[in-house]
Amino acid sequence: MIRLIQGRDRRNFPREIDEMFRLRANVFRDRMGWEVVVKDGWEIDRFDELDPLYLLCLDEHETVRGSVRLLPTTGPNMLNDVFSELLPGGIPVRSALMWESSRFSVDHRSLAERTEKKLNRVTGELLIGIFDVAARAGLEFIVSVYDVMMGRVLKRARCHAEPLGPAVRIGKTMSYAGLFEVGPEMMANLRLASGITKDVIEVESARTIGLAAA
Amino acid sequence: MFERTFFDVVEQLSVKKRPSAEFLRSIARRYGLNHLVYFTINLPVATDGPYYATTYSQQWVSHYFVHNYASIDPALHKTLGGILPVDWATIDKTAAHIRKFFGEAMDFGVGNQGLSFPIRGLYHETAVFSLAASQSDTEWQVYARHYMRDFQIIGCFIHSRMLEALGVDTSPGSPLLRRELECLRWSAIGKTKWETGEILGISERTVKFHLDQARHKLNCMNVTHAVAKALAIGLITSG
Repeated sequence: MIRLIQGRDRRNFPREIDEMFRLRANVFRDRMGWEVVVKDGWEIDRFDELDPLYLLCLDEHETVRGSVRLLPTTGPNMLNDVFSELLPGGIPVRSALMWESSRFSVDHRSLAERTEKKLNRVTGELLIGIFDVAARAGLEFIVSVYDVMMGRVLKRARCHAEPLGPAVRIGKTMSYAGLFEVGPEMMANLRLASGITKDVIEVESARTIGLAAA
Repeated sequence: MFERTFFDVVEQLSVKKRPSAEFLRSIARRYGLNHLVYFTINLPVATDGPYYATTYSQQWVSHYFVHNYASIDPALHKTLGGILPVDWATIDKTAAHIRKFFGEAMDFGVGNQGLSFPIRGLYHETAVFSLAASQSDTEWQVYARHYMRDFQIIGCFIHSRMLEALGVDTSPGSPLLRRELECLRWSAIGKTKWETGEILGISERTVKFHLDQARHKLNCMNVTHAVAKALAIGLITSG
């Protein structure tokens, strides 16, 4: 299940937020070896101060198993402000119809649950959640910076990415800026790859935020 | 998406001026809405406090201010600091003061349905674009879903107009890329996105993206208008 939490409301969800920032430290610093700043166990950066929208994947015990962060491209975001070298001419990409997805993270237990053919459930729910919210907000595109490893996950998820610019070595791996189209085709692909047929977004959290019914 | 008369309105706006009630009224008419309101504060330049433009009656605006409804208006509170459009249908109206607020809004002709969009800019400013209509719940669900995309663009467009009128650069460092110009050029001579993709050897999806980028950089509400503007200012030629 995906719980939607707005950055501005994070004080109302102290447990979920704490688990999310710890999960991010575990994923990005410990597992992937990124040069991220971790303070008091939290991997948190300046983009978290911009009231993003978080999608948290909770298991049946409401433990946070994965998370992702969404920011509109009409405001400051990672691709334009940090990774502009991944864009042609370093020129920012902006549109009211496009949000940026960043800090996609899945805990290691969930990763291990992957079966031969299927995507692990947490990855599937997060991706379906992103494109469901985006469609309901009237968007056309999601952009995201991803590395080779995430590229493989996306491929397995049938989450088709169109490269926006050159691949660039960032840290230890090659990274890309990818464009994803929001729409029924994407949703059908994700559902096929993940085997998830039900709605993933928690009805109550969507209603609290004000998101119209699916 | 837009009809002919709409472009006239857009053209009038090419003059750098703040979004007016008259402009909002023309959009409301076009979309069969009762009312629109745009509100902004904390702009990157000194202004005389918040700015708003609305089609609401003067009576409702006064009533709203006199009763300090900004302090309880749930649509406004859900929208500020968020990134998702807020559908008024999701608002819990069981509390007496909220029920009273919406009841009075109805009496003043606001409407029973609405959407409020938070607008994110580059300068940490606050802006909200709201629209209201009189529709049944079923009609509204279909209508809101259908036009969500248009309203996202319109809200952002109005806000950019506001910033431009104040002399703020709305797309710092964003010249049009070669690919974007090429897509506009093929669009200008009537090629579809698919055809343009075939010609340029890129996917239809990427063409759609380039045209949307061009539209945003030229601060236009749709691709047709972006093509017209690019031709008018000589970025592309139709020859």
